[in-house]
Amino acid sequence: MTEGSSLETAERGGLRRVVIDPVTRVEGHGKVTILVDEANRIHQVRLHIVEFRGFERFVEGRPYTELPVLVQRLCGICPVSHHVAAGKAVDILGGAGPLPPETEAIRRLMHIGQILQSHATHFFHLASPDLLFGMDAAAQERDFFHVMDRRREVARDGIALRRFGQAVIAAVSGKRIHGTCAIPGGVNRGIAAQERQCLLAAIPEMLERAQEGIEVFRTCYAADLQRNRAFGTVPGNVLSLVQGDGTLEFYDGVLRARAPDGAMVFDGQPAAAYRQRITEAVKPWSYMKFPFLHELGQEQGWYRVGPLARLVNCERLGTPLADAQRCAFLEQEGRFVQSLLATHWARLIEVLHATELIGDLLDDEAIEQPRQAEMGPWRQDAVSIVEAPRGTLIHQYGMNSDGLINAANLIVSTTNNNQAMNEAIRRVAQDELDGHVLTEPLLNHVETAIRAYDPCLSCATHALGQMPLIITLQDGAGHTLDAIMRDHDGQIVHA
Amino acid sequence: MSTVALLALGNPWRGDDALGLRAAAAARQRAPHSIELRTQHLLGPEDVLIMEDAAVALFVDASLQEEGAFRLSRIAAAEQDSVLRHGPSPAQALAWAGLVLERVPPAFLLAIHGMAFEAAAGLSRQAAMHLEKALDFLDALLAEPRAEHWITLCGSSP
Repeated sequence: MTEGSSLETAERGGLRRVVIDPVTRVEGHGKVTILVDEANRIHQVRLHIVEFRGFERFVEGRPYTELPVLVQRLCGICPVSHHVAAGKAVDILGGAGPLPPETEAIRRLMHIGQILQSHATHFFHLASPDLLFGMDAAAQERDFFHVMDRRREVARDGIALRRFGQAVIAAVSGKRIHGTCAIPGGVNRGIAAQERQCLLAAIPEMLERAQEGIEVFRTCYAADLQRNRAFGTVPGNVLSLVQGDGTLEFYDGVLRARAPDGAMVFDGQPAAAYRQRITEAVKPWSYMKFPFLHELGQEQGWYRVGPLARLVNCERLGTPLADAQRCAFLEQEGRFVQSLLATHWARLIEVLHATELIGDLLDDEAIEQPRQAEMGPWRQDAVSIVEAPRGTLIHQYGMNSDGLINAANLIVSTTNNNQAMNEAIRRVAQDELDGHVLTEPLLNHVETAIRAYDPCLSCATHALGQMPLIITLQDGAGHTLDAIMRDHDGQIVHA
Repeated sequence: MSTVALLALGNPWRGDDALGLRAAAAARQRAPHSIELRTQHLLGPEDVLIMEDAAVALFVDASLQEEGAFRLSRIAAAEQDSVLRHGPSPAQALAWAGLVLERVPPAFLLAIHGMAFEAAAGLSRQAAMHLEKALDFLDALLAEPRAEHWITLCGSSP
């Protein structure tokens, strides 16, 4: 399970450094460094997330009621996921009882709208050029405008689905990006009747487009089945939320983790148990943490989250069209499929599922007039977990007796996938780059592996004061004279 | 095809950059049935869909370049360009419409003269006056939403 890890670290002497910077068609900024020798043999491959946030510190000292609005500024692509996760946390901190059903439905609607629009953006706008035109196509052909030009209907599906997801978010929160909805114990508005009807009327078209998207992917995938199945694939554990009966869950639920063969690592774990089940490791070369399943240890415990993890981890999706597609998918690819590129297939099935869910949620006119939950005494600690488009998203907050935040820990989907992404690009490097003269199209193979995870790179580095850091002093010839390291606990040591 | 696809551009938080958005909001109040409206900070591919059945497309934006209060001009689709810029132009959006919709409606840009674009500022006094004049002109446009008529009004810069 850790085959690619041999490429994590190499001695620099005599090696040439190849850098992919920035990684394109992903959200946020990242870079990949590859060390190769004179014979183009690969010695080291690393994914670096080079942006820095700091929200875990920004929120300290702020009133807890501000959290849903503050933390959604982590990202312009998936702000709703952070908004909803923080909304659940402020329910707990504010002492809210259970949300009335229609109120929870409004939050779910916003959340699922986000899943839909983000998945559509990811597959159609960012990833589809690699699949439609080939990873080795000329760079100027590997973009969404070429999809518009050559595959008009595919582009149209993507644009329409993305716009519909954005419209759902805007109907709930007032804006397509960075709107507001969740407040402690409820939501700040209902859905206008006219908007509800308008969105409902679009559901049949969106279902059709979502199914067309699946067929587009299946065709591309089948064109070179053996290669596509193997591309960047390294078996790993999976983690996601499920309902108590194993049905897929995006908004709430319990944690479930499985080994690559499907064996259960744990199941039914409430959100607060993440602290016992997940440990965050740090590595001196990355700003981003490396979480792992505590009971399996750091070497064997890395895991992946996201659409493919969710689909293999759950027992069912709970909507008819998407469940039929999931069954067909798992029947063809295997019950615990691990293929990296199949992540897109799972993503598109979730697009269909999200569209069905949105139709179900909009069907209830009670969402036009939501009620608030009963409020009780404040609580000092809250853990909230949701499934964001890219995977499991964990928010934990501490609050003092004045209602001010005094601690925060966020583990975002990209962080959960950190080791998995590194394993994937090392596998691609081993299989497809090793021994070859590195060309732009070949390097795009590495980027294709990263795009399969659709990392929300911009929100993955935020732990100001906690991130590991190494400072080295080198002479003119590049020899290290001294180095000091700050570890994840803030301790300064000489490396 | 009786509608006007109205794409209003701007940032409501940056002073006179809100001119396009304010004009669009007023237009919706005055002629709610003859326009399909979409507001954006920046144009994106999904914005082209409102042009599908439009008789004319009208982009409304603030501009520093004008000499008068506003100016209407005819715009055409840009040459095809595979680069997604941070702020795609209306001409770029028209090019996308050509690709995705297989039609580009007759399109115009109503540029309203803004003076100050500072963060967290309201409309400047002069821009507010420009907006009033532009709204009267917009009323006239929407009263007769035909490209042939609008072409005769291009270059207006009171």
